[in-house]
Amino acid sequence: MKRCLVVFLACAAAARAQEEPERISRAYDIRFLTQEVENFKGPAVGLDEVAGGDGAYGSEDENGPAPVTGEFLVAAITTNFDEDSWSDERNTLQYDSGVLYVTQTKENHEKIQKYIDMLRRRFSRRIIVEAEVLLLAPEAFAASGALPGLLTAEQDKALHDAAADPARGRLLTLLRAVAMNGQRVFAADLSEKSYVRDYDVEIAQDQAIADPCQGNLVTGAVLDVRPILANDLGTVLMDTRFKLARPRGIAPFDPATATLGTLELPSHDVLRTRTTLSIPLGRSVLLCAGPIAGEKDWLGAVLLRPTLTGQSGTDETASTEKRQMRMFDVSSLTAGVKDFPGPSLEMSGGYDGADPSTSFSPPQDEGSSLSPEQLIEAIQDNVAPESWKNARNRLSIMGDQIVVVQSPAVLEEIAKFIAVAAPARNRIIGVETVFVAMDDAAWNARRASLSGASPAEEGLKDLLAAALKGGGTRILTSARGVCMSDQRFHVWAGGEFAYVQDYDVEIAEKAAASDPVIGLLTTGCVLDIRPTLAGDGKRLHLELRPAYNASPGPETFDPKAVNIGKLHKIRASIFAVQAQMYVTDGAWALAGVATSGAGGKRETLAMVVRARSMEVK
Amino acid sequence: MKRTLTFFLAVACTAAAEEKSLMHMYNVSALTVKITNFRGRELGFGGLSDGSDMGAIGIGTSGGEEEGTAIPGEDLKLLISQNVAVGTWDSPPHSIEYYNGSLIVVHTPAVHELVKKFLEVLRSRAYKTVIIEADVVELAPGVLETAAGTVLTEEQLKAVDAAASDPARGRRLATLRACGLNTQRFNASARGQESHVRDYDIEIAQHAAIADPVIGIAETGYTLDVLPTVSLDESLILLTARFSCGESVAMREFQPGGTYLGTIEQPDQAAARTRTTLVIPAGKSAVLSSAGYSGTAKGWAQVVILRASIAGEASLPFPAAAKPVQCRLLDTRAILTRAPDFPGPRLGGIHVGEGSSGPTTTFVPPESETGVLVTPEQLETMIKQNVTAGAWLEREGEVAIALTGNQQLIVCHEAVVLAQVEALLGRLMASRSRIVSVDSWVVALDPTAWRERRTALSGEIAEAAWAELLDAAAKGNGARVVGRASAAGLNGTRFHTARGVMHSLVMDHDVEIAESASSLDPVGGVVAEGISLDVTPASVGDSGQIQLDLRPTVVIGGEPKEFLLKDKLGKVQGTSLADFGVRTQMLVDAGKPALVGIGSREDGGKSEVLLMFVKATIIDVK
Repeated sequence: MKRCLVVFLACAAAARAQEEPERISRAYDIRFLTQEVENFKGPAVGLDEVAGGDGAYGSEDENGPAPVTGEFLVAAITTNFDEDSWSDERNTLQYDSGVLYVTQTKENHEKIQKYIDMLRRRFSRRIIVEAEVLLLAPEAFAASGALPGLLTAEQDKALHDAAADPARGRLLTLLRAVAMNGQRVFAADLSEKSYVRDYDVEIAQDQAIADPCQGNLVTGAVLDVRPILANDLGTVLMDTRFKLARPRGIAPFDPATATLGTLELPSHDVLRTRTTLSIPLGRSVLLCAGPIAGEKDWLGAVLLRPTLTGQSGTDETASTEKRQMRMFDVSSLTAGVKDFPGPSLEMSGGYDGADPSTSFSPPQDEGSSLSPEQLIEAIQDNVAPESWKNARNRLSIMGDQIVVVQSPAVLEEIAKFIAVAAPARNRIIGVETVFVAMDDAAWNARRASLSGASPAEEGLKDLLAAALKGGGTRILTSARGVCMSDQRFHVWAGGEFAYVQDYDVEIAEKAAASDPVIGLLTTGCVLDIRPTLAGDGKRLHLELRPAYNASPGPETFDPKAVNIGKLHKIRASIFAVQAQMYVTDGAWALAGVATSGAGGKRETLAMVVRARSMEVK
Repeated sequence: MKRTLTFFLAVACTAAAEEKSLMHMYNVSALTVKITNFRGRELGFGGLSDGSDMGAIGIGTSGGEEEGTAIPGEDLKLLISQNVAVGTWDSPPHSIEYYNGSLIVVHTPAVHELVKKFLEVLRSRAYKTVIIEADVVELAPGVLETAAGTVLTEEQLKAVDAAASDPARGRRLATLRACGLNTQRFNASARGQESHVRDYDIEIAQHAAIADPVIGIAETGYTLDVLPTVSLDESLILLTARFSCGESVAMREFQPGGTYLGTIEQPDQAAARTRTTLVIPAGKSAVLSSAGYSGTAKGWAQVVILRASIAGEASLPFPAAAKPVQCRLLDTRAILTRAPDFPGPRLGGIHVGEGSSGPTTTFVPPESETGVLVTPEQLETMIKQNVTAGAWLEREGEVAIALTGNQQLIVCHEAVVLAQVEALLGRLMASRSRIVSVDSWVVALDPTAWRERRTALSGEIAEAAWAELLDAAAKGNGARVVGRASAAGLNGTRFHTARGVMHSLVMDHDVEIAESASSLDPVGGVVAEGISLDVTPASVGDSGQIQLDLRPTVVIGGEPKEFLLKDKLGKVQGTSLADFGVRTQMLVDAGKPALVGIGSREDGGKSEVLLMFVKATIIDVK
């Protein structure tokens, strides 16, 4: 009996040795997956350079995280594929500098290859964002029925038809940017022109010399976006920075001093927005619209359309293990929505000694979205809460992903949980504001209908209709834009011009000279607003900081002081409202009224606003 | 900054939650919205970059903004848990949490329905926008003879409208409309800005000097800057109003002379300013201020009329509670809100030295911000002592009063007691709605007219004597009204109104000297002429007497004149001023004029006696 058993074991061992699968060593190049994502910030356009704008051409933003880490891949492969086999020292897995070195059976190599292919497919998706900048006659724009936000196919067609008809509009430019999920990219169509921006003055005994400073006026259009794909691959959440700068001219200016030569002072027209919005893939949105000063009363309208490209296929991990590791992209839920305060239209400086150069307020707030930690807590509280007591089931964070080790059934539940959470950012808000000016007769005629607690919307519509016709009532300017709920964003439709605002002086023994100080004045209309859904489905709360500034342009003034050149006098007329109010969703509301007497012309100015929320689908 | 993921997890959690208990996330971001206070741009007397407004809110913060909260999230959570399914919230899995503009509630479907209804009620009460409109008109004497602070009748408003459209009797200068939330400071403005060379700094070295032009910005226009606080029953609005305006009169060019200096541009501006806290019934109009002085065209007065309204849906009643003790959020901010003191301007000639911030220093800085105030603790004591006295202590733990983070009260008691508390708060609000209107006149009499009226105007002034004086002044019979200013404010608070013209002048030169080089360095200044009424009135019980703490001023200025400094061929400017002011405290009878000060002036060999009168009126705003 004992002898038989020994013979049996010996035969079994021999058979196993013959069936022992072949082990293969292989290196997988996964640099594509483990490289950091580079972010590219759009270039400064217009006079941003003078104003200390937001970066030189092609400058880089801080890099984003890599799609996956090598450590994750090692953990995912050993968890998901023949987990027990990895305890055999002959099976090895090592990550080094973007390469996975694996020794395993042929069968497991095939599984690993498929898994890596799946990850490549998943992260090779690209989001294409196209922007079309149209210039449209106001009648054509109104006839299209387009409002800021999602466009219907009919509205989209009507806008394009108008742009194709020279009598009603034209296409100014077309931009297309391509980004990885979560990557900041830009597309720019620019032209540059150098000019004598300023002089620095060097002085010594009996001598003074002006050192010319070259400026570079960059005009054109820049689309700077960071799209984040939602889990359902149906929508993108997108930080969007768009600026169109059109040159108006570069005016020579002779300060008429012995030291200084001719200065060149540029001016340009601007349509700019900075916002975040959620867009269904393949749909068009009206990102912003506003008048472009150099184009009579025609409106610039920016249409945005994101699409998805890349290899399709399932995101499934083909694992048969009882406990698997899977990652879930939650970036669209955890990404913060930034605040984008608008530029100041105030002429600063003067008594307090500050430079009157206009500069933009930097974003004040990065937003504080749901953090990955909070999301993990919510998952643990709501999906198989008891199971998390087992330490082998775990959740962790990897960049914009959360990584889960759980049973397949629970992983499916988590996927469902995150999927239904995805519509979290399913509403965007389009905002329109119109500044209307009325002469005394027109104001007196409308005073009753525009006064009191809640002027009827019909009265406001009538005001806008009358303003389109002209006469005693006219539209000063308007701006339209779109954003997320509770986000501060802005649209600026106006212009900027440089002027000689002051002189500094340099002095030495037997020599004195003046050094020009170049100022910038920002004009036009700034829609700076934070709309918030009121939660009752019918109202919105608006935090308003809109402003309008008109300036007739610089006038030359000679102070007639020794060695001091001519400079510019600036006159500006500003109408500003700062307030918070509740408005009915989709209805016009009167946000402010003020009488302006600037420039000797008395007019009553009214600002009307309309905010409309819409579902992103 | 909250970033609410609206409805986030709502459906997800519904699927995942335990049987019968559902999790739902309620978007309450607009209920708990941050209230941003926006300080208006000061114009006219205040000038640019004015840091002198030490009002209670919006000071010392970047961009003039600071934030409060409509209803703090934790208070909202407390309010719901104390009104809906009371006593069930501590039993798992039921819970209510506030996070970043969202209420995350886990409870049964029936309770969720109650929560929804309760939120609807709160929304109907909270989603109100306060609208403040201002009409700035210039009116001929006699068009609107009513005390500041008085609620205007429809007839009076029509009369003002009619006069404003009749060039012989008045004109509308400006209309302003601003809207904001209850307890928010907000503003609307239309302004003009003009850059100008206002001064020169001098740089000097051996054998050389150069004048460095200093650029200023003259700002004109109108600013309405208000902070409304609505009473509990929404019938009254306590309004802290800051109105200012500046109108460009001229931009003069002045050649200061000297070897190196160039042209200086000097703005002259007509300015007006009122700062006060008053009470206006919702939907009604009241006079904020009225001021005119001898420099005003035709002797007309600039009158500012404010209208306050509330927009929003009708407030829903709270649903009937299942338990006798209910909790209510009672808006007591109109009672508890501090009314700041607003010291008035110092008119006259002001030098602007080197390093100064310019002619913005016209006003004496505020001395006090206290005003009259009921503290939350006093209010709580009042309620406990006046409504079911003693019961609060006996039933401690069952009934309670709590102050929220933004000065509202949460009162938990039976419905009948809550009604009594509301009634008490109504009486307290009525008490706070007492405002005092103060009128001031400066009348100039020639010596003969003064001698004739001296006896009648000293001591108690008879109604007939007063009427006769005003009549004589209107006709120019030995008397004229040099200035008149009236404003109204909360009983016990300091407020002011001022109107005048500001002239920029080069009042002096400093000198700079080096080897073989020297230069004059101009020193700018401002002359402000006009009238200022700065007063703290306090009504004394029910005696019909009012104590006035008075600081009124009238400055009558002449045209700026140039003086040549012969040794350096430079020039300075100057002007002659008649500065007549009173600093006193006195007790006056309500509604009766009183003589508070006498002065005299010589003008071109002609002398006149200046008399300052005040009349204070108590107005109980309803």
